[in-house]
Amino acid sequence: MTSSIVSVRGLKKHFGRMEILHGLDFDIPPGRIYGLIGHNGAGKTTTLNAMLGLTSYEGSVQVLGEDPYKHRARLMKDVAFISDVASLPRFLKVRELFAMLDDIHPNFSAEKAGGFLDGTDVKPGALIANLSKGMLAQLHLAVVMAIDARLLVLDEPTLGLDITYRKRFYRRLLEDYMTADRTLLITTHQVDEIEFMLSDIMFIRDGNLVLHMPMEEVGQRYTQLVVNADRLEAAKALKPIFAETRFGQTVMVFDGADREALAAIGAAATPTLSDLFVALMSRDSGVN
Amino acid sequence: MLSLKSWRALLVREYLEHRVAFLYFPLGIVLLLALSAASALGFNKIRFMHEFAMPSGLKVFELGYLVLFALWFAYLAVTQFFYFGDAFSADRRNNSMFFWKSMPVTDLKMLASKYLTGALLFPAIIVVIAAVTGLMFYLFVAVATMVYPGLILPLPLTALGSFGQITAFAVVHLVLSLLWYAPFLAWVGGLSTVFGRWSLPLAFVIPGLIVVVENIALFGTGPRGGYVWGYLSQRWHYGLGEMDYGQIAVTTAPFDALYFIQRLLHETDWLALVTGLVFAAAVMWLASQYRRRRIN
Repeated sequence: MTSSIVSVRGLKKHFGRMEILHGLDFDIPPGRIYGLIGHNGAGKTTTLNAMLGLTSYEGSVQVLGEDPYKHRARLMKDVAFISDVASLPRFLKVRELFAMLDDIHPNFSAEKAGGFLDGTDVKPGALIANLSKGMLAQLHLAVVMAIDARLLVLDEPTLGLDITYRKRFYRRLLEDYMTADRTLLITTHQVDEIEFMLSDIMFIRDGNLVLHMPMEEVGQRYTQLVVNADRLEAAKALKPIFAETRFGQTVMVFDGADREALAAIGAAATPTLSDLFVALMSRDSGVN
Repeated sequence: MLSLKSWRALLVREYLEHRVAFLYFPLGIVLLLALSAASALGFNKIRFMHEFAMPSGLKVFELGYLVLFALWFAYLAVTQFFYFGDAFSADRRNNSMFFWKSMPVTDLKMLASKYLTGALLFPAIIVVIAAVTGLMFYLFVAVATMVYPGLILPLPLTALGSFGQITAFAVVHLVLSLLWYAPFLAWVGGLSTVFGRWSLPLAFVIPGLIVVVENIALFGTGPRGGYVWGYLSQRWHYGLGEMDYGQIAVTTAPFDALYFIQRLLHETDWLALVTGLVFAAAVMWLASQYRRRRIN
């Protein structure tokens, strides 16, 4: 697909003898907001690092038509990323950072970055080393939003932040940054907090993609059923992919089942992303 | 244009990160020198100038200025050693590798900017500071000649001529020294990229081990100390010989920069210098390849 922002084929990565990624294949079209979700050690960050040219790999990765490992510097003109909000250079003041980025990055606007910080506690004369973690996140977000990039990659951007900062972070991202020309790829463990903004979802488990689909298809394909004990056997007959007991009731997740048939057995609904995550990522399906 | 701005930004970045060692601390030394000179004059502690038996205030100024340059260059050499041992791994240590890798700058350019800052920008700052201390020293000598009428005050224009001659010689000497010692600086920087601050001892330990292994392998059949030791000892020294420095000290004629620059150029082993530059470039390239594969 030539129109894809990211095109990955047979992506493998070894650390020593251990294979971390087992041949991933996916495309990311422009204008979408992707969530890459997985357990710790599932291979999310390694996948992102391969896409950002930060690590070598086997297979083919094309980002904006470039091989990221060969041409990382060139690619970074059109790709922005946050991998760790604590990675900003601590010896600089905020205004020194903006002035420097203005010279280094052809698509960075110091004026825009300053505008994004208006109304926050991050002042231009502040030394970055003295900023709190929340302020660092605000500053880093202002920096990447001031880059006119086509792809923005956020790897656990709100890790360690409190709920107000996290909500403000994502709201700002949606309101001030996203356009039809831009693509956003986010990894986070706090899946419920980003569910509202995602257009597509990818679940990665043990180095394999186990789910990759638009959010609207999730509702069509997966159904969550809350069923009482007396209808349990009837529900099991419809072959759930996951089941667990909550407060005396059984919650099941079905893949491709007829929702009307399920509704006749219990309370059927679209699973939340976190419920689907648990259902698809658990090693024990709980069905038996 | 953007490329030039980008280089400028990277040099400024290094300057901002290491300005304490290369600007603030030297300025502190200048302040201390000024205070000690003022107190020496104020408390009449400059009688020692008679002991040198140099009636020419100009000669006192020239020798003093040369010694000041030598001391500043010694300071530069030490701080450069620590800079190269520190700066090349600073992004990893500061956890800012991810941030710099998100910029459209290659790892080679990043390391080259660190090298150029250490080998051009910081020495330039030290030269300016050394020149300022030279001017301060002229004022000191001028006041001293008033206190000790036996000394003849150099005319400002004559002193300015000497100041220019010595500064020109010092700058040429510094540039050639930086080119001569480029492989050593690159070696320390390259090791720092891989081993962090351990590069400081390793810069000497690794060649030392090679020398030991060579001596064991040759079992005393090679030259004294071994071939590697012989080469490194010879490669370590650069500059004018003792005769030249003796001439500077004893001659009554004003300092002649052109003569000593010609002597310096004549004494330089150009093949070794060029070979060293090729080695430095290779080390920087290898270091950039290593850095390219590191994200923390």
